[in-house]
Amino acid sequence: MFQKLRKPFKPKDLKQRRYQERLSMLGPSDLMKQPLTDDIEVNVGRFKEIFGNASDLVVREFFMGTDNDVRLVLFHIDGMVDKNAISEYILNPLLFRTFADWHGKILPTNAFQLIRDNLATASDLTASDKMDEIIDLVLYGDVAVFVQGAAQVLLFDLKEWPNRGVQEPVAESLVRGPREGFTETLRFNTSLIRRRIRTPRLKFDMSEVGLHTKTHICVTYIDGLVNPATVAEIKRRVQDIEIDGVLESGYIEDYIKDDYRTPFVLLDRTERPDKVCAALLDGRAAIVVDNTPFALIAPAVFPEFMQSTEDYYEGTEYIRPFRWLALIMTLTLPSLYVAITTFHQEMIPSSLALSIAAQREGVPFPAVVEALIMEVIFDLLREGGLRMPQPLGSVMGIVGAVVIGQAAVAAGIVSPFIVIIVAGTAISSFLIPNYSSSFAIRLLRYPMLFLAGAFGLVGIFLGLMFLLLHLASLRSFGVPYLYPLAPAVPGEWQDVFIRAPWWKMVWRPRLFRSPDRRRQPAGQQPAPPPPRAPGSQDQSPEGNERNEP
Amino acid sequence: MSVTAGPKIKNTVLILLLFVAAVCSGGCWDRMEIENIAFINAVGVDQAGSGNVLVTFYVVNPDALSKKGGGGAPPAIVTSVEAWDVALAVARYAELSPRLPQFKQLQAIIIGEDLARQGVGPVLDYFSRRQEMRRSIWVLVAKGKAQDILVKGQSPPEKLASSGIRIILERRPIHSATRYPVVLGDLLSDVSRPGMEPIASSVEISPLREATTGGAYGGDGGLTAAEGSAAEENKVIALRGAGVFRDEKLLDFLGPSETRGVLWVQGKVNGGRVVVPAPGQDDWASLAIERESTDVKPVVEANKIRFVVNIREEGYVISVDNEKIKVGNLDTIELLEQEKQTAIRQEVLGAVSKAKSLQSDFLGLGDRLYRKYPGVWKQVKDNWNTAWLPQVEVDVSVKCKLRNTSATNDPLNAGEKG
Amino acid sequence: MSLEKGLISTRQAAFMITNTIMATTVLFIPALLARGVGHDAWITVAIIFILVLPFGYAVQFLGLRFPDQNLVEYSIELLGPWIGRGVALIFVVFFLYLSGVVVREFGVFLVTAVMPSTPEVVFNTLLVLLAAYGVYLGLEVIARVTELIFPISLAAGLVIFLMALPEMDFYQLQPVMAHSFPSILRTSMVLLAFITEGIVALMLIPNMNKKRQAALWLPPVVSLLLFFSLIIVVAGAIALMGGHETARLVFPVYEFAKTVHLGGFIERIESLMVGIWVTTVGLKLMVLFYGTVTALAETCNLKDYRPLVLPTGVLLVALSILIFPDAVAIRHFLAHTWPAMSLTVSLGILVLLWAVSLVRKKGNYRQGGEQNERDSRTKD
Repeated sequence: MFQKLRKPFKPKDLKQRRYQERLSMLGPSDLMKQPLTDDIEVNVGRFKEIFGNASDLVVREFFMGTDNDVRLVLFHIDGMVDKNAISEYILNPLLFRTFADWHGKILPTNAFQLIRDNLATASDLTASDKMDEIIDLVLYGDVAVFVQGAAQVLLFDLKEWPNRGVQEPVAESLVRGPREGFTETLRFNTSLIRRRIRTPRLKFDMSEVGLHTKTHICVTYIDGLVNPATVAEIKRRVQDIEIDGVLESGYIEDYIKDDYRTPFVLLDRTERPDKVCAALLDGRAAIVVDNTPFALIAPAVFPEFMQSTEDYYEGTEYIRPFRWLALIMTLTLPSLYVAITTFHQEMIPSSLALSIAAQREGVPFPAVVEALIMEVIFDLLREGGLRMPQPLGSVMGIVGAVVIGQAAVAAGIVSPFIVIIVAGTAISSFLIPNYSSSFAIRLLRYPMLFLAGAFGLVGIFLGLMFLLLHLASLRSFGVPYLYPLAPAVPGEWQDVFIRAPWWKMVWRPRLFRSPDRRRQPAGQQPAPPPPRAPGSQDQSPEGNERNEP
Repeated sequence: MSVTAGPKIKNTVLILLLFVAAVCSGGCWDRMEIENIAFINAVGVDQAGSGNVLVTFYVVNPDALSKKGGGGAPPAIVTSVEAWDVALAVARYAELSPRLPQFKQLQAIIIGEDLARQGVGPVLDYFSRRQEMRRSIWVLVAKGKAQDILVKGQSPPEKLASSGIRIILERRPIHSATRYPVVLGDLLSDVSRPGMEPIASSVEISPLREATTGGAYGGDGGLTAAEGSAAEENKVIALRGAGVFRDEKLLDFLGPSETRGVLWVQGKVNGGRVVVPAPGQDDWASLAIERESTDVKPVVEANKIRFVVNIREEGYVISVDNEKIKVGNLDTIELLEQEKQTAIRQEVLGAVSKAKSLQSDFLGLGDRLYRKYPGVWKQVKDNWNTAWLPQVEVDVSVKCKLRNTSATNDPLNAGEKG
Repeated sequence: MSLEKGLISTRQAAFMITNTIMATTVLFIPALLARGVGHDAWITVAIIFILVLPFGYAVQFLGLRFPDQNLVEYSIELLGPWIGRGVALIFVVFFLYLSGVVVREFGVFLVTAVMPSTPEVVFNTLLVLLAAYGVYLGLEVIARVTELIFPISLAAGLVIFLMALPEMDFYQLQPVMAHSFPSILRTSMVLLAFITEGIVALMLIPNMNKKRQAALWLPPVVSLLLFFSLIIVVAGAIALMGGHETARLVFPVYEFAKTVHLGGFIERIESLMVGIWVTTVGLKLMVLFYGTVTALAETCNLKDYRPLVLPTGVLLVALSILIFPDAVAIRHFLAHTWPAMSLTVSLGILVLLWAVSLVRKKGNYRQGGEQNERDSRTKD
């Protein structure tokens, strides 16, 4: 009587099913899953079918051996391979030199092994019998040579493609320090790191992420210095990413960061190999992503964003307090102005109070709105200045903003004082070395402004408390974000508030949980040489004036 | 916020938006834009008829001080309002003024003589209850009406009279110490302290002496021609002397040297000049006071109370009128020191006798007695001012040191024309 | 110990406990004490210091006898499910009430001192919102922020004291003991009531890292910090204004900040002090709020206390408004009612639990506690 009810679809299940179907359509096809056979025709046929009519797939058929016994087919992608190298290291030896020396000895049965072991002169040569691996490698720039009679394919690494070359990183230029920056090729980047850290313990763990892009990701660390749990966690997160394409390290970052509900940056990113190496030596790990010069560093804590690499090469020990001051100023200066002039006028010295009052005569907006308008104008101009052609760019941004500010003052929209306040805010935001954290701070100015306009200084402190609570609740790969301020470790404040000289940095940062905590022996501060005993004949640089007549 | 955000995030954002909207639209109750405030820099309170008070508000006019406004506008607007008490006067003033009067930048409170004689209690209560007040506001007693001081008084070259008052009171009195700077906090404490009667600096306006510049008040950038022409109206605010109270009522004013006598007892002298007769001559020498320390000890004897006052002082020589006074001489120095000691002693005794005659212990002797001998104080406190104070003995001993004679030793012509 | 997996270091715990006791005490105590004994109020502080130490140790060691267990858990263990839960509920109500009082106190302060026209509700709500956010984020977060802010606030207080020093006349502290000893003792009970708010530490002890090592030095450090800050505040206020004025003023410490006058332009900075007070009182409220919510969740056998945060917050705001009709009632409450209430609950329950644990020979601090003995700093 009653029809059997089918189980109702849950929308979630349906979506999941459809997604799996799509994935399987896009994934490696059956063709790719089949193993290679001995028959070169079948292999080549499959290969060509998988590639369809790719316009940049170059085919080269040639024969080896007397009587052209052995047929070989060479595939490569045009534009990714050094064609001269093909001629020199593959075609040349296989076509010419076999003629003379190996005459009569090359047969389909041993051709593959001969080529692989004796004949090919390329230095980077692998063999593979899995079609999907071959496809991957060819797509990455390898040259595939199908040999008759072999169920394996030779793969030569003769990659050459147009490359930007190692240049000074644009966003992180220093006055003193190496001017090398990462490029878009993973292998060059790893070599830049390798050149700086020359220990066999430096590990590059590769993996691929991205369904269509199969981007190479390399997790880098120094084995024995880094906490194994951290590395394992990073790797796990990277491998769990299911995405159709990874074009930049930012994609990865979004997936692996600990908390997405915050504007603050939880992984550091850099273009500089020396910064990456410094992080590795600290006991951290780095993630280098192909096709982008920006590498990620994990874990990352907030005080780090107040540090600049240059601090360690050249730079006074005392620039860092200025940076912290600048941080606070960026966040609170407009809010302080609004709070004090609107609620707490008694805090202003009398003459200044009267001066401000006089300046604000005739300004139609309350202080909050004034501040808001000017902040927005400045931000717009500054962001716009970023996109302008290089030499003009940022200078135009700030100068233009000030000029517009003056114009606004002349038009009676704002008072002159606010222009100074906002300019001060902008300038202090430049002291924050890391652009993305400065963006987070600049973003937070606005809620702070609202709070200040509503509740005065009490509002500002409330906002600061909310911010602190939020920051203290963040973790980056297990390390509390405000370390070493939040779980207060005063021993490490020497790197936060000032930059202690290198001989003082005896210990690696504690919370990175490195197995090897000591960086260097203590007590290496520079000191003048001890005084000589009188009458001794040392050849010290001070000379022997006393002994001379 | 993308469309796929879960309900929790959406709700949070909604609540936050509501909150922001509520706060911003309801207006923030305490918000006062700085240009809408009338900054009352000084306030004067006088007695008016039939139990009312006359409150004078000295409000700064920001336009006059701004760089571009400058010139024509008067630096301050002085308004007087009569009402039943100070709070009502403020309310009446607020009715008239488009700017909201605020005491946030208040620098001085001037109490008129007649009101002070009636009792400053109610006025002080108003000013201490308001949270905008701070205990560091200067309190002055006016000789005459406070209104006159604020309306007519000037303090050139400061544009604002209130700034002038404040600057003079704040400054360490290098040249003279004949005033007694008191802040609201001190006054309030003194009112409640046992054995201490309040004392406050007194202020008056006095005509400007024009003899030095020979005529109109020229050469001073602070006054424009328009004001300069009314030269006979120019009065300068002079802070001299002090007014002494008993139980919140003003009794009398002290002269300059009596005021300094009080300062000596309190140990608050930190600068000033003493003119002493030169030893053996008819002329005078001018000596400076640098710092001093005072020690007041109550001594209780059978039915008698004595106070021993020890003053130690340091200073130097400023000028000598007669070339015969060989200041480079050690003996002369000693003699000068002794003259100084005598002079100081006389100032102190003058203050003491005034206290006795007024029957008001503004020197704080009773306070010292209380601190040291609370039992004795309990017995005498009820009629301290009337019965005991006139009978106390005050032994003053002063020790002076003249540290140096400034830049020169002997006066001009001391050796040559002898 | 299912509820809070967070760990706090002993230093963080010390700061949190000290801040909890100190934040509002510093604000209200000088006036309350001076009303009782005038310029001898500082003697009260000295007396209390002697009593605080044993109290601290009693709390600490009670917590150590049950190292892995929450207050609620071991009161159930000691007194049986019903009475134990009853005792726990008393604590919940006590903390809740105390939180309400704190919120109201501070709202009143903000309104009278800083922004007179704002309705108190606004400040109460903001404060509770802040505290709720902190509690929601968890104990570790509160501990970290306290570790950051508390030393700063101490330093700021010290700086203000030093800057006000020239204006102070320590002569006003004499004569010593002008008031009778019984009245001094009676007034010191008021202070003791504030100090025993520290019983909330019982909720924090299970979460402390390396608690056994810290057991010896924690109470003395807290006591010393408290003693110094209170002495500075009380004696300073009296020295500045005299005993009578201190009693007359509602917030004498605010006047303290008002007297700072440095270099001619650093003056009138009292609003900055108010801001710092906002942070410390906010942190205090977080700890109290946390104690309430955690104890309640534990009593009702809930897995997580977070769902309780928002409702309790709403309750707290309402409570804070309804508790007192006006500001005068607050003073009266603090001076007369609160000592009895607080001392009964905190000392009473403390003694009760100790007695029962000794009698029933339950709980041994030599065992247990390893569960939480790891570095509190990461949670891998």
